[in-house]
Amino acid sequence: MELFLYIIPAVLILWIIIVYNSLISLKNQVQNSFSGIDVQLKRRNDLIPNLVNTVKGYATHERELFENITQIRTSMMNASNNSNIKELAKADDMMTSTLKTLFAVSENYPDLKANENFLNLQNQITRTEDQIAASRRIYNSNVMIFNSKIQVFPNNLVAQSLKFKEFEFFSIQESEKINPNVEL
Amino acid sequence: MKPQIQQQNTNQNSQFWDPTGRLPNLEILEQNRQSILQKSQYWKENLSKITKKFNLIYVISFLIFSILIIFLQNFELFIPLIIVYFTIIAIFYAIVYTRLKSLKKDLIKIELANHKNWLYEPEKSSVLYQDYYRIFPEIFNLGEKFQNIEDVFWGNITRNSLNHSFVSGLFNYTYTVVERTKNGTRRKDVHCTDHFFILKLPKTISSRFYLFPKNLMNKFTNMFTKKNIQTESLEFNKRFSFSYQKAGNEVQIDIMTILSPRVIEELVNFSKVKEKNIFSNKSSLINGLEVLFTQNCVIFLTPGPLIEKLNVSISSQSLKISPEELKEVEELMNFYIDISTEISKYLN
Repeated sequence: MELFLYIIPAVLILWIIIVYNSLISLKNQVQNSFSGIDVQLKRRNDLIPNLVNTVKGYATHERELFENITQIRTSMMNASNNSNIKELAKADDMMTSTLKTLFAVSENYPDLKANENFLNLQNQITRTEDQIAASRRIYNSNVMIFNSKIQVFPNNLVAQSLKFKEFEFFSIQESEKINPNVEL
Repeated sequence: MKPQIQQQNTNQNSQFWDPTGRLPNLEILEQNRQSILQKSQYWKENLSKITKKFNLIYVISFLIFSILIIFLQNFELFIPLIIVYFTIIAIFYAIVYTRLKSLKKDLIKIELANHKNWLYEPEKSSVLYQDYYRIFPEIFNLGEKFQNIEDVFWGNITRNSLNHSFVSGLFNYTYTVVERTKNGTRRKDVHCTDHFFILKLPKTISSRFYLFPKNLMNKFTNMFTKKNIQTESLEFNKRFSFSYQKAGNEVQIDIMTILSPRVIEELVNFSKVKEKNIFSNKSSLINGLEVLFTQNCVIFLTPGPLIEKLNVSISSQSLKISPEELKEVEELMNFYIDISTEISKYLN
């Protein structure tokens, strides 16, 4: 009987250690996948000034569009520095949408469409957009695994007492989606 | 088995590619194609005659033996006679069915190769197996005997305005299992067929590494070899183990760079589709998708043959290929082509 008094707490402590370690490992992987998004967003942000400069040379009447892009880029960099997922997701959606508008606008300028530098940048940005979308899906899938892990019983007992918090998904609600107001 | 891959650089086949650097001999491919077509023609013309003859001989001999038994008044022989006759008829129809099925598979593949302007080799080749094993030992090291390559396509396809060369085929191998019986142990050969798909990459990648389904055993060994790389995807890490020759952080960084988010995503989706169903009877030594990234190509190995289900009846009509059957196999090939070209597009 006395033996049980030692075994039960030992098993309990061992179980807490295992759950804690697995949660820490999962948390690190979720954070790692967030850095994955960040890397791709930075790659796209580095391409944008070149793209804007190239387009400016041809499409001189699209000032509002260029200002929009610069503004979103700045807010995206701020959100990234503050690790604000909601703001970053919002800015990313806006940037994707604005870049689509920019590429649509470029259709009106045949000289720009024929510019090799522009085509190359467009191709690179499209590929990076695909990578961002994949990174977002990977991150959200990781968040789902982590959040489920800390919600299920009995893991929730350890997670709550050791102050593990749910991660936010990298997405914005429909009501928050803002379409950039650019006249074509 | 004859060596069919020979050094030949004719204008016609130089547009194709093989990782060995050697291309198939077109004359031999044509001979093999003609041989399949002749065989199918023979079966189309003679199948009903063969089955009618068999049925006639079967019924007459059964009657003769039955009369003999009645005449000898040895009725105990009736049950063994019936069993023997049912066995003979089952074996006969099984042989015919297998032959028709194999011919139909070949005919569909010949038709697809014609339609797509690819090369197709229906014959088994142990020479080609030896060559592939030498270049890609990670993938082709399965089985203990009778390893060979068959049903090989060499093709070109345009995706994302890029021309891609590929090789696709079946990898056959046999391994022996020891079974426990009441009288002791018994050795049994298990024949397996897996499908491989090799895509030539548009650019050279810096590191060679091999991905294979994770299981408890390799999870444990990876802890000691420190070859377990954690990518950003939990799903990917749960599914795949890594193997690579060179040691050090540089290779790991290379691998992480090559496996971009889109590549990771495509590999996870591919692996989900090709996961071996543990309840199926498919005999294969692999449990799911295996991938080898080498300098200039990527190889996928998946459990089971390319065509798993095929409707075949014992009639000459079953050797006629419907557009739906052709489309089905074309879609299977397109699946491999699309997924591998997508992966190659996003390799960093």
